[in-house]
Amino acid sequence: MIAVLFSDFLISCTNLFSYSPFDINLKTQHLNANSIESLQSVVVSNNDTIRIAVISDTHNNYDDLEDAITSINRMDDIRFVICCGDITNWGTTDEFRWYKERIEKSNIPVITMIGNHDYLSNGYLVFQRMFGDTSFSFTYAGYNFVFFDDVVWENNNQAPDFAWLQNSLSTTKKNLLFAHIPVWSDQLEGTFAQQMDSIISDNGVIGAIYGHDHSYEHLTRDGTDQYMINDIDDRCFALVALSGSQMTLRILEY
Amino acid sequence: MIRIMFLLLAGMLSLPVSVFAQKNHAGYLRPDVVEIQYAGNYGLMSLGLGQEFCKDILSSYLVLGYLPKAVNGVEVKSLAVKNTIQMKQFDFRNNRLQLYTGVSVIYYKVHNTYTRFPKYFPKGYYDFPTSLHAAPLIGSSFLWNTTKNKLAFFWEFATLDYYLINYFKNRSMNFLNLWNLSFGMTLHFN
Repeated sequence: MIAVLFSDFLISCTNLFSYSPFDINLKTQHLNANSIESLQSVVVSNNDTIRIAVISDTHNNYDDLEDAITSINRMDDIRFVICCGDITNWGTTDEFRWYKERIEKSNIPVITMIGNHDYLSNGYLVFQRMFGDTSFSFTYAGYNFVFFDDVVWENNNQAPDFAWLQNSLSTTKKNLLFAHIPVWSDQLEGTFAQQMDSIISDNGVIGAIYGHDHSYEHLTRDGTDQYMINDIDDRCFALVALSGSQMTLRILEY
Repeated sequence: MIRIMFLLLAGMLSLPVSVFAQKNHAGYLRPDVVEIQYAGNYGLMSLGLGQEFCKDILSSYLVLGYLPKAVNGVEVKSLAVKNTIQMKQFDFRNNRLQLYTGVSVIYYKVHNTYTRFPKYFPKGYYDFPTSLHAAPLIGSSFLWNTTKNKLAFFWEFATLDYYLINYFKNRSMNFLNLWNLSFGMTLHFN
């Protein structure tokens, strides 16, 4: 029996010899770049209504994440999935792997942001190796999707790179902003929030979507619709529809 | 809360060691056994000094582990108390095979990992220190020619408290994926 268990272990174990939960024994994978490349390989008319699913704060709710992916797979008009960060609790490599195993079941590309929990221990380095840069942007169907790493406390209490945000927002395309920490959250309170508000309002952002606080909230700040969406534990995701300069968001339960 | 219970359990496992130990004070200070281990949550390599109690059924080690940055780009230092209890012993000819289980309480010194979070975090923002983990283990050691040798080889499967919590929380977790393998040698002094 022990021999059977041992052989099962050898076959199923993805990481036989682990040196530490905080080791980062994985190769560079560029998952976000691969997803974006896959998206951009399909020609899309700028007049199409674009629907995307947004999930957030999956943490260690792997069953809920798996069910969300299954549910999104059943909807045939969603172009891609965005995860607004906190895909781990402790930033360990195994947690990143377990998240990756679930999103690999998606039929459509998944783009993942970093959250504050993902910064813990060596999580920032794991994220970079697995997904790529923590702030990035791409254009799709005439929209400029900007993913901004605005984590402060877990990033050694450093200011977010607002110069990068300013430069990444387009003056000619319709900007959509995704970040983990909402601009009204305690991590950004004060001058950081003022800077971010100012950049958002000055650059014609048509909508901003955040995670972090695990509940739904919709605010209009300086004329920009800004949403914080539920964590995956609430068993729902946001369905975002983009048409012209309009962004609508509704929460779907699964 | 569940992790606190895990750590309390780990602490309780070390309790019999102090309760049943029948050693004089000098005996407490002198290690009965030295172990060197490859992998297994402590680092690339670890060195442990241990005491054995209750006719060698219980053992307790102080383990120092290290993973150099040159291996995978990050440095990990660890300090652990590893407690084991023998479940079964098989003696055949002059050889001895032992099966044991146990738990280590491991303190990690790793970048951005905290026992006490910096002051800019609000109180209670994280509900548990990220640098402290309990690591359940199950293992086996083999000492051949017990009359002459004091050197034993062992292997261990180990996991983490947090990984087991994930397993119980998620039906989709593969139980065998939570465990890792390590091996090493122990040198017994008596």
